[in-house]
Amino acid sequence: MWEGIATALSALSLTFAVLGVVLGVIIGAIPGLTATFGIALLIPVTFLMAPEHGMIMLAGIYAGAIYGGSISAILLNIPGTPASIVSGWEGHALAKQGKAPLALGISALASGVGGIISAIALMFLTPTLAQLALSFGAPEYVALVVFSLVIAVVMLDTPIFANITGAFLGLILASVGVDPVNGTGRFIFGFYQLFSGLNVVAVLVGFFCLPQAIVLVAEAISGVESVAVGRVAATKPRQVLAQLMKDRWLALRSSVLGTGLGILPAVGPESTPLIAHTLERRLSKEPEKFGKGSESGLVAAETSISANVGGSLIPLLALGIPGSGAAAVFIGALTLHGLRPGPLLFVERPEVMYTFFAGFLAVNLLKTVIGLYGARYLARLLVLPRGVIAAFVIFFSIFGAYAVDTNLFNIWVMFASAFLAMGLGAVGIPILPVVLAFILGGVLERNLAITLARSDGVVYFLERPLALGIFAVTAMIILLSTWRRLGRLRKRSVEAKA
Amino acid sequence: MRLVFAGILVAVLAAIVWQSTEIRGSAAIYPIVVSIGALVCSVAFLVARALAPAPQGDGGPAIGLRLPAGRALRLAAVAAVWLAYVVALPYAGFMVASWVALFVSLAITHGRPSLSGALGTAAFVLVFAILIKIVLYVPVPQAWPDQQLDILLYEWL
Repeated sequence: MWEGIATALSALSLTFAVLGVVLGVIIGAIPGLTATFGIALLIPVTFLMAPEHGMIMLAGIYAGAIYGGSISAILLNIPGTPASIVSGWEGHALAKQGKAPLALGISALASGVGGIISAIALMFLTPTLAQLALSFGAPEYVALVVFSLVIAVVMLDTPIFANITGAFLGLILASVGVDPVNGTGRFIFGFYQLFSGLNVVAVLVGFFCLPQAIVLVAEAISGVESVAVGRVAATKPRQVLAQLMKDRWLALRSSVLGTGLGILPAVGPESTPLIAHTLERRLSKEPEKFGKGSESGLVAAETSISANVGGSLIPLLALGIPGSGAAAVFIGALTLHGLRPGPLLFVERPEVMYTFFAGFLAVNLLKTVIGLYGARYLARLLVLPRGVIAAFVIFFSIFGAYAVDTNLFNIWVMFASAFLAMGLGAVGIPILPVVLAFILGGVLERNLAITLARSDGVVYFLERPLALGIFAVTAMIILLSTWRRLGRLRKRSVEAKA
Repeated sequence: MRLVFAGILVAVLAAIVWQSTEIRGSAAIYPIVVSIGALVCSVAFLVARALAPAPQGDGGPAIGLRLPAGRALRLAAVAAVWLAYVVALPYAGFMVASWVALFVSLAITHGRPSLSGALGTAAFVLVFAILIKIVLYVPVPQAWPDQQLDILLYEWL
């Protein structure tokens, strides 16, 4: 463990952490570019790094991008990432009152606090959860994957059939290639390159980077110009610290909430600040200030978003199950470095894990410092023309997909994935269940095959109380969700009749 | 356009269901269940959506599809440039293909070619090609300029 911490604090690790945070903040600050996009685009850059350095850099991009989204939200009321909508409400209202430096400072420090609390949770919860997961067999994994997919399906606001279709589509994508039972090719449509399955990085780059680049091209062609950012005065750290001390319990509550929501699959940083903001508004003595430039509202939003990042990495590292879309892309990076996310990671490569934990803590500290002192300079990058960003995003997407295993076929896989993502967007099917199911599909099928081969009836499942418990919780969630949706439908039909 | 995508989706899923039924033995169960599930749910969703009065899609990545004809043509031209780039890569090599693709893509996006665009993209491609050869070590498709750069770097370093 100490060896891992020492590696994380080496000059090289810290350099990659700073690089990741700066790149992440820049990506996050540019409206339209998300944390998931940043990780997917920059995975190939980590090729030449040691796995722990690559992970630290990607964590820096993830945390940095989530924070960076708030810069444009505060200064321009344009959320850089969907997670920063609430920060835009509060932060931009503060900026309009002439308190932009304070808002940027609160955003940086609160984001740092949330990140650090989630990093501590990551450090202590992940090994415990992984230890528990070591006793998992195939049925437990089947139960866990089904649970994750069900959560993703019921939590999203899009129509339930759209979400289920997305999940099934992801499972189909994951089953392309050699089938684990017979060892024969499946869904390869005559392309021998597909025998080894769809390349994860190529698919994810196709899902997240290329469609975004096309949106940017469309905006550039439509004449949407880059935005003008005026000069912002320096933040006064003492003033920011005083505000955060005033809201210390709120910050702690929002951080714990953010971490907890991050652990749940599909509850990404997008919905977390809305929940934290609503909760704190109810608990506040001045609820009328919320939404109109409340410092406390901004603290709640920022701490919860940032804590969600660390939270989403807990099930990813302990169980191999991502807590958000960005964490799902993280799996692609780990696989690329020869690391298998899950409990065995702690047995096979403990040094990598402890280096990453310490590195993630360092990433959050660095993010705070960079945010407090550099946000106003990084905001100047918002002036980059969309057309230029788009051209280079397409170029790096193609290069990234190719560079994974220097195979031109992966570029076509990426194009096909982008086409699929755009098509699904057009018909209204969300991409998140597709990604989660694509990442988890292999685990599900393998463990399902083992479970079915070993089971000799219901008795086998009765001997697995943990799996049964997870299945029972899943069934309860399905019932509750169906009940709520039916209630909503009934209410709507009553309203329509009235 | 939404109808076209919906049609393609259902057709592809139907083809996958058909492929699943071709698999023999117990290995067929999982793909059959998954593919039929996808087909049934997608048809149910698309029918419900067609009957619903207002569109519910997030429409995010498909934003470009709502452009006026002239602008949509430019968007299609940018897409064509990058598709052609992938086809041309093995023949034109990394440096030439990348420079042409970046320059033409920027020219179409901005509505006119510019000297600064040409020089800027050329400089970027040259620097990136050098980085690929001395730092990233990714074997990219080679043509005459790439080979000359290789020789030059070999002599210098």
